[in-house]
Amino acid sequence: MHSLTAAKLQRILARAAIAPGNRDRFLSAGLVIPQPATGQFPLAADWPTAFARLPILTQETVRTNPGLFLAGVEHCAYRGVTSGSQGNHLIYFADTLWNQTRLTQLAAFLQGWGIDDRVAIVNVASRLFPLRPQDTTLLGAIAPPLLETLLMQLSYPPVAIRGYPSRLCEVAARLLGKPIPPVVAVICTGESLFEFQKQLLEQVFAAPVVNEYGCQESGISGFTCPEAGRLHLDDTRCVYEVIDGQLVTTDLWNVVMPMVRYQCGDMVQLDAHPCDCGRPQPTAKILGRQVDGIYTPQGRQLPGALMLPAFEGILHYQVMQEDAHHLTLRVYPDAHDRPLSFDAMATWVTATFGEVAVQVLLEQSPDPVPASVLTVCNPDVWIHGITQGNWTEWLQSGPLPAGELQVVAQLLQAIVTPIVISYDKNSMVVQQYLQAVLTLPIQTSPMIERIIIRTLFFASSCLAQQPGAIAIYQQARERLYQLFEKTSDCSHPAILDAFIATLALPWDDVPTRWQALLQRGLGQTSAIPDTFTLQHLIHAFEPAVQRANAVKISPLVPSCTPVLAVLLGDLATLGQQVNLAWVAHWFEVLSGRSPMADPCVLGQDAFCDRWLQWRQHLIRQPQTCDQAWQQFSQMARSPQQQARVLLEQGYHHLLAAQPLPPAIWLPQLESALQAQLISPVSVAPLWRSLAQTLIEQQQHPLAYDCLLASVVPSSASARFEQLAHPENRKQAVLLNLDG
Amino acid sequence: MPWLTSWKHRCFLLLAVLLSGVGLAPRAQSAPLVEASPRVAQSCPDGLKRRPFARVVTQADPLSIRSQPNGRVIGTVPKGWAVVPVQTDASKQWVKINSHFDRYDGGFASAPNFRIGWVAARYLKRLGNFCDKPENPMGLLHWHRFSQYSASLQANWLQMGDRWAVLRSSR
Repeated sequence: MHSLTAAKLQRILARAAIAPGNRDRFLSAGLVIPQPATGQFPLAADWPTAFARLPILTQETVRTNPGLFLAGVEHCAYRGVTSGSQGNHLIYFADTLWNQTRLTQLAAFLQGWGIDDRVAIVNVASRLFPLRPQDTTLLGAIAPPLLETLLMQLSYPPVAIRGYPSRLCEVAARLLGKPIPPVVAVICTGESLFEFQKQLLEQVFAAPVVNEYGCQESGISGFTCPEAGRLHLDDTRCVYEVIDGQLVTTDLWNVVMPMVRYQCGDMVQLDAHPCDCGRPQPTAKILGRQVDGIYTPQGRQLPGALMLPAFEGILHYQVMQEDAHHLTLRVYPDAHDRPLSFDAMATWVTATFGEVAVQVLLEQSPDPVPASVLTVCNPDVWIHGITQGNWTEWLQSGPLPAGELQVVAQLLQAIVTPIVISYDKNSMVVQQYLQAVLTLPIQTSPMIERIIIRTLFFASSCLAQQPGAIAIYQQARERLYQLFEKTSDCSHPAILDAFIATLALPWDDVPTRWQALLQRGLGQTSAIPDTFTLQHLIHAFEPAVQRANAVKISPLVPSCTPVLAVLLGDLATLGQQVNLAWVAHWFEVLSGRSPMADPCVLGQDAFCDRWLQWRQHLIRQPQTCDQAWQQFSQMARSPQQQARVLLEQGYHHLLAAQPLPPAIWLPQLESALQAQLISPVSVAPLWRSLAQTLIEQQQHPLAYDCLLASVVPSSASARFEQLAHPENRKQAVLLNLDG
Repeated sequence: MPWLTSWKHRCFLLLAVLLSGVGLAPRAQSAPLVEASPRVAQSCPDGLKRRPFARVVTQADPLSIRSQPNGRVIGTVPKGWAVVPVQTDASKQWVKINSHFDRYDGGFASAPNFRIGWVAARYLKRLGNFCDKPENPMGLLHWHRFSQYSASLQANWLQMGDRWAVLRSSR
């Protein structure tokens, strides 16, 4: 073993010894020496020898009680989920350095295929989150909207596509014969890649097909090389072994949940000779999982060991083995105007599976899906729906307003329910609608003009990271001024939108922007927020917090992580009590300065006013806020108000760097959550702090659960799950239904 | 239009092809509902078989379950629940549903009035074939540490806004 690898392994083993799930294994192998006096388990002097006899750790063992394998929570910055192809997922955690190393190695492999930072990777119809900031994921049913969006994305080269080979083949079959813009490469991952799939993808996309392997929780990954097509394993991030054909790895970087001699379940066949391409890494063939064995006359074989060739006249196919004697073939022919011959396929079936009864399901190409019928409604009805009603219902049933507002509704739809998942919410579809809305003339109807203005403010918040966001905001503000001159209506929630939109925009100009709005008299607003306002706030918080995380000015940002959870929790309690003073406060929470000289409390609810005063003291003078605390906590009457006081006490502890004693806090928080007195999202920062204390108290499983609960809220992740789960799962093309 | 109706018009010619020389025998044609799905999940863990699942997509909760097509109501299934369609009537308007537990004709904690029976096809949305009942999309992020308490931690953002917009006071 290389000395550098040995040093990393020694460090990771020492770290892994902290996790109780490793303790018995480590002791039985003599890898650690118990120290009763200190309660510690340092590595034995001859640890390399002991490491070699350490019993294997299976994924199932970790999944049974993952918390036992948690070594620490400090620096925890990554939450991964295994694909769960066997129906069971494992959620694992890792640290920042682990993630950086993973991405660096990934970039090095991609570079070999000419995929550098300029090339965007579009993940297509597969449950794969964007890898890098410039990448996107296109999700949903493989139907015209997805295909049209994909072609639009490919028309802005350079682009590579990535996905499960089965799903990419479905896409390719639908695009066959259509003109397709150039693609740098097609990256297949997550499933075995078979020859017929490779041929179809090469034919349709006219690009090289790359095979990517990854078992992220184990720290191993790999890519085929362009020269010889062999799969090179990245052995820099882990120590790998092959035991009885199974891949066994020890991750050298993950200090949060170190996996030591971990068997993820994949069977591999290592190549005996180095690759002709000259790269030093070992090469291997991934055969699949032991449980995926297929009956053949030679005995059970793994999918990766079988050859699935291309057949003339057949685009792609799927083989389902019901038992050793029955097979179902689902066949997708490439044309219908000529007879299909099964002779070659029959010969292959006999040679591969022996004498078996075969049922053939011949699948015709899907008929063109008729364009969806646009349901049109009266603009008044639509405006009422999105301001006083429910966005979820509107987006599910989908009526769009007639006239100029139609494109406004389409812009909102494209922003809040995108089929392209990206880090910045921007897409070509959004830009297309946005340009149309920006060119809409001033409307004579104040109601219609107001909703256009509000939508532009909403868009400027969601696209705040884009260079054009300020121009969108300015146009919305000018239109608002003109409308205000006509109507002098200070009670409409559109005024709140003007202030909310400043949260996510560059902060240097925020006091000036507020001053401009206040000078126009808009600060006197008595507006009661409606559904649009609340949706705007939720969507504005996320880019605003991203800005706060980048500049790290506010004391609350490092102390109450994730701070987005604090803001969302405030909103969950306030609802329609949100007012201008609260918007000013949230700006102060994130930026560390108030946008108003003297933010007065304008609320109608005494408890909320006291709560806001307490918060302002907490941010400005955390050391001397006793009086504000007394006034606030004594105001709590209802169980909900008392639960809010509990939360605020927790945030105060975090800001003062005081640990929360789990014995006191866990039962209280559990009780408040059980009674639905507080929103679960608001507790996330407290869980994170409790996880740290629980690790120190050797309560690893409880710490793991707190870590799970402290997940950083993300609209992109939520939307990703919503779309990917029903439509974009893995789909084996060779499977044994008999188990 | 729900998928069951479009079944008549599209794809999947079920051919029992006798391939000479391979000894292939034709097999009985399966019920369209079961075979119609083009999606196939991974091989299942021991004891489970792939089955088609469909989601109840009523506007209002819940969906009535009837003793026969258009028959008397014998139970209900909540909006959002995943069920197993097992049979379609001749009109294609009615579907017999089962739960993820084969032949269990009783209620569940989250669907106390569930019964095996017939529901209107237009209120089912096909999900694909799965080894087990598909989880709630946010299921991975549910937190179950304390037995009585489970919370969705990665909530649907639009639903959050809709829910909070109706909060009128701090109670």
